Amino acid sequence: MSDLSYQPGSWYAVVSPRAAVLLDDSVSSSWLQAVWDTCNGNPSLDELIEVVTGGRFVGAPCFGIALADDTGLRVVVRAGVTAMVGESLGAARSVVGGKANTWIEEILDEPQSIRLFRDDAQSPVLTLPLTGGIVFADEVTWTPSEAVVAASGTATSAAPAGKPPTVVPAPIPVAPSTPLARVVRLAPAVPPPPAPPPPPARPARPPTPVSRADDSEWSVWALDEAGGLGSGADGEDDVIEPVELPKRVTVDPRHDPLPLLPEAQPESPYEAPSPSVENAPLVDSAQAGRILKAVDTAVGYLHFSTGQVVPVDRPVVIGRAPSVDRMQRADSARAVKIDNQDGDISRNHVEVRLEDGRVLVVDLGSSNGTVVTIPGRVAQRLAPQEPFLLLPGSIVALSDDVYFRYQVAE
Amino acid sequence: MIAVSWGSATERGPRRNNQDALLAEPPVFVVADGMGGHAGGELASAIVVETFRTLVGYGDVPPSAVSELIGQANETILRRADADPTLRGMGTTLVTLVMVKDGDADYWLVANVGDSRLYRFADGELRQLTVDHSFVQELVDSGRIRADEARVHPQRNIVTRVLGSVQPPEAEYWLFAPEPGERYLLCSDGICGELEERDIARLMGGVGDPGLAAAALVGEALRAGGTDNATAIVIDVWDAAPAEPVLEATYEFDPGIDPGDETNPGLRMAHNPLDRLQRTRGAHRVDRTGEVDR
Repeated sequence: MSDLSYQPGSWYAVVSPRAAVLLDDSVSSSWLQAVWDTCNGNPSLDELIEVVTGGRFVGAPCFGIALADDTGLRVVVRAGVTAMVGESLGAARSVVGGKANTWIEEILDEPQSIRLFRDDAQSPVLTLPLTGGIVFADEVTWTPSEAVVAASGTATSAAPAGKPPTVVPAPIPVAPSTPLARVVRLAPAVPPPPAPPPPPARPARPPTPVSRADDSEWSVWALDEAGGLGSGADGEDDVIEPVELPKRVTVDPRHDPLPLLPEAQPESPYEAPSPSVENAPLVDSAQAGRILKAVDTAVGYLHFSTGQVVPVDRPVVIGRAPSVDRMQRADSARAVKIDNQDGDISRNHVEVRLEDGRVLVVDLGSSNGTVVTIPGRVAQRLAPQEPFLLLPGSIVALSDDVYFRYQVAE
Repeated sequence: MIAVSWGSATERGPRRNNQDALLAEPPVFVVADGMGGHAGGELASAIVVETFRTLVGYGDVPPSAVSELIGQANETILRRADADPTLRGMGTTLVTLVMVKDGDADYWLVANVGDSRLYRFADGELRQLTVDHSFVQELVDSGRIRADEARVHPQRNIVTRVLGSVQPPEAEYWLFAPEPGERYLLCSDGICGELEERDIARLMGGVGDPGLAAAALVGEALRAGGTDNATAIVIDVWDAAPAEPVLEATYEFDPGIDPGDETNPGLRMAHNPLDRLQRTRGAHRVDRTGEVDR
């Protein structure tokens, strides 16, 4: 652990035995908290990227990641960040984020130190040691802890992942004007600020066997324009243009509480009913308001090319005439109806499922199939009824012109 | 835009009381078939209807509300039965069709407890959507009897799930998108226990106005020798509000019925449906077209 150090700056460095993350200063404290929590679990690279990016490209911060997982060391850098690797082995070279819209990944075979720094960093003034935590930094040099390295390659890691390491940075023997006071201390007893909920700071979960491709396929990520994702570099390009629909189920977005009454309307939709049975207070009208309120607990959203945005808080069945049969609860699943003139979308076409915190997509045996495009990878046709991990940003196409994009909740 | 028009009819038949209850006011349609001596059956089904009346006129019903109301209705029935020994053991079936909102789209949600049913009629085909919670259904499921034997089985009246049970009943739910041109029937077993499916299909397809279709179904069920209360709600789904009043739509009645028989509620309508329906409020209720304009 002697090779951990940082250079004070205005970005953030999150450092744990398993991972180091350099993040630009656009992220919130709850975001940092989520990154911190994830780094101290046993994250897979895609989990960590999901948390670091907030699950989306648009507005994702500049970042660099160094991660020790069961297969070795991985370095990921986005535009604006460079990683120096091999310095401790005497064969230094750089991994440059350059202009990558998404990020560049490299896998390192041997244990070594990794230095992450922002491209526009000032020339170093100070190099300070630390043991772990979150610091204001423009550069961080990190080596996986020996325990992690020793455990790498085995399925069950002996790394002290369960308990965060000491959070306090090493003493800094410098003048008071240095960023000492700006060190972000994360004592476990202090609750996170009441900010918007952090990006999916899910507990560490086992690596998914569902869709992990060969590592070789992961080495460079680039955007797939064919998927319609847009450049991703600026916010507006990424918005899927709503397609004008010839016919929709509803036309009026107003949530008028009384749109259905053809005639006389009661003063309030919750008006106590007039029981037809004497002395029977049948409905607690105070409760009526409560049960008519929907609660949003979505882990993510499906952004449809039709303009619909559907929360993923339960299984979602999508199709031309979707139906869910014999459910145990009224809200066991959602249905999403897609207007489809050409008839190339099946009645029940594709389903998005939640399983142990993971989001899966399943083709329901549709006639024309379902194609999933993970940004930077070759589009993949789903085998019927076989679950496929839905990574943030993935595009799921039901037909030539109907698709949806998965985005995790903020 | 989706519009619905609907109508309903209920008759006590040869029974002393009508223990069926119905609610047909968008976005909620309910048929409940009560059981239990004294006033119990009537009260239990009325409790269900009044509980679901909470949703009437509300255009933004989340699906979870329907689960909640089923739980509430069950508790209310139990509470009333506890308070009055003469009501002990009362219970009721429930079948409901509710238009629920998800995002900016409307969906039908169906919930079922017991042996009242929902049928869907579209493209000339009748399909039973709900699955009965009944002893004979279990026999059918396990392959011991055929589906067509269930209707005449001596134990056909045994219901295995009911609202008013100490163990909260497990309802089953169906969720699907509305499609213009479809027609739904909610009915008690006084209809589907007496009429064969092809007769139900004939009336669902042959009678244009939903109120008259409901009345015709009730009338034919009783005429076929029905010994139970009979209740029907018929709901039509349109892609826009029909331009003409639905009551003037084509109306074809089974010519086999004797038009002189005044005791048969299905008959008079053949002569003067509007007049007859207005005079027999309570026995038959035909609602005007309701426009679902959201």
